[in-house]
Amino acid sequence: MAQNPLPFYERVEQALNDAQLQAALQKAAGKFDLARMRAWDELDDVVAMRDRAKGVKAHTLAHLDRYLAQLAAALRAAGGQVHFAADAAEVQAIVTGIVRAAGHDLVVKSKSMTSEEVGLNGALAAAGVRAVETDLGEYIIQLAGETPSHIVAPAIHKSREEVAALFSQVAGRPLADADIPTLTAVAREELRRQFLAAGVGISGVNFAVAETGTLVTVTNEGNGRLVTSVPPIHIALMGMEKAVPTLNDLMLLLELLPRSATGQTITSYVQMVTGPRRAGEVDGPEQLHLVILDNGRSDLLGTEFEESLQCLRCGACLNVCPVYRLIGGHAYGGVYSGPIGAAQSPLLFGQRDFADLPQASTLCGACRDVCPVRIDIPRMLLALRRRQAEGTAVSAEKIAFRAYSQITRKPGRYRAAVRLGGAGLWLWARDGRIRRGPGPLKGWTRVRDLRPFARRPFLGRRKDEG
Amino acid sequence: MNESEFLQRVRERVKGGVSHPGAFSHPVRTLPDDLLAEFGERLTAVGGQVHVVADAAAARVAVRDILGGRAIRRAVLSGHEILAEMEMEQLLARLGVEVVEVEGVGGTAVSAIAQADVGLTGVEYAIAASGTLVMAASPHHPRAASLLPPLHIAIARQNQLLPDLAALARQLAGGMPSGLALITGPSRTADIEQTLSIGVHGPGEVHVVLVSAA
Repeated sequence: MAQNPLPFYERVEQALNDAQLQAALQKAAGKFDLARMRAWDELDDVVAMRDRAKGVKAHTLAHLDRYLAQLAAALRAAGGQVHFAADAAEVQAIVTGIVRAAGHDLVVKSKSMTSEEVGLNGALAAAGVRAVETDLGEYIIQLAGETPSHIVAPAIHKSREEVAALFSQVAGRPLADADIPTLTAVAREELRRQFLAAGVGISGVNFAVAETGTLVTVTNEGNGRLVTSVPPIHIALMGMEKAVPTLNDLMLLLELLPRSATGQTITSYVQMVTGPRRAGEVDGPEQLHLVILDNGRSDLLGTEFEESLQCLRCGACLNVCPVYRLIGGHAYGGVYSGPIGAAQSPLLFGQRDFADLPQASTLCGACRDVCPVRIDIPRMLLALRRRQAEGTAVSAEKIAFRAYSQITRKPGRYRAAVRLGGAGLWLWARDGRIRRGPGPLKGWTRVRDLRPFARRPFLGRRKDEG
Repeated sequence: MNESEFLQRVRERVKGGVSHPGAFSHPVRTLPDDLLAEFGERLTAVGGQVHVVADAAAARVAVRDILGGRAIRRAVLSGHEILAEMEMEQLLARLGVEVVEVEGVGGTAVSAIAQADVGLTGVEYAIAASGTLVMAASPHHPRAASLLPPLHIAIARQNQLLPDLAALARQLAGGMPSGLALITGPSRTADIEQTLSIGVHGPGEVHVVLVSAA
């Protein structure tokens, strides 16, 4: 389910030529990463906490069947309804079924990557239900008809002027000169109306506590609280990897997620929902539904890629990635971008659509260094590359490497090849670089320059110097 | 896919045999006075305002000062006992602020609360390490009172302070409310050009009146 139909290299080209995006990415990535470092420094022993957090996640995934059953039982005991969905189509059917059965046609949503993953808004629209995104960034990109470009800051690529133009249409008055607080107030007013009118609130889930059946969302704007408190029905969507065993485990992960995402000690709001409104309470939803999604995740359990399911979706790996910092989220073509997206998209959504992503990495390891749960993303990207290479037929690259192996085995062959090849390569060089190589080298030089061999090889120089 | 097929599929694939690393806790620290100072520093750092007062009379002065000079016509109050102990209704009556009657349930109640200019509440706990208010939903404590009005004033006692999130987890061991909100400062966003903007969906101002006497 690639969302951008252009081939990967063309999406990259597009991003690199977008000056506004480039400026926004440089600003955001650096700012987020600095904030993360400062926030980690507040902790007495961040290394031990990260190790423990990884241990909790690894333990949970290794016993996920047990924790999902416990979560479902606890939430049902609190009056919630639990649904299990194998794939995107099942989530769509479950959610549209709940909304239509209750006779509602307006849904307010707080940020849910899972809902983006399964294309929920499209399915709701097809069922005649209007779904309004209420996170300010998500609202902006929904009005623009786009997709998120950063997991924490989805509208990072939009300028104030572009937002003002979009909001002018919604508000029905000119806002071209409005400053950012004014634009924020316009969104508050418009979305407040939607909150009070909506029949259903749909949220994501950052953590689901198995022992208590508690669904936790982490937000700064307060829309997460509104979505889960105001409409008569609340539907929460979670990927099955979001389960955590205990409240204590939850608190450990809460110490790490906001710090790693935005550098905050804690977000403005952490909402913990354990069932619908109880007897005597005047607000809160009458019905609470939890949809637990597989969508390819169970295939990763017990494999070398299981570790990718430990992800907290903080976005720290995006902010330090030399590739993400240049190409932004849209170039990755899917819902999850950056290093973790490069690993997960081909695993969850198909090697064919996302074949190029594991190559979109320098393997520098910065992502692994900043991951709060130390996911070894470079290891998985290499494993994906290996898998792809094993799966391909004889390619020009394979022939070239076989030839290379034959040549380098004998010193005579090697010296002859260096002389011949060295002279040959210079035919294509301009100013000491090959920008457009011949034949099979074209693919290589499309995205990088090739250096011809030195005119006097190193071995030749050694001989001259005696 | 039904539940048992779903769980069976997971059961067939999990590797099992990975032990839990054990419960986490922060290093023990802080005396009561330190908690108070830390709470104030933390909440102030994220744009909240803290008023430490010695007794009920001083709490009333603090609330009066917060409300003073604003166009406050209506207030919504949670049912926390501390509001009665501090005689907040009487104060609001003297200030000419109408107290919104929350009647009905669901949309009716929420619409009434949405009319208020200020939400006045107690708290269940306050967390020093992050400047966080902990609010539980219950029959007399609507979720919307700390959420919909543009101004939230919470009144807390010093003995409600907890050091950190791990301590909160211990307090919650007895059972979870249907809705528990951890609130740390005003509603905020940086979604337009990465510029901080306050009060996007929740309150734009959060004041905590902390009563330090036992």
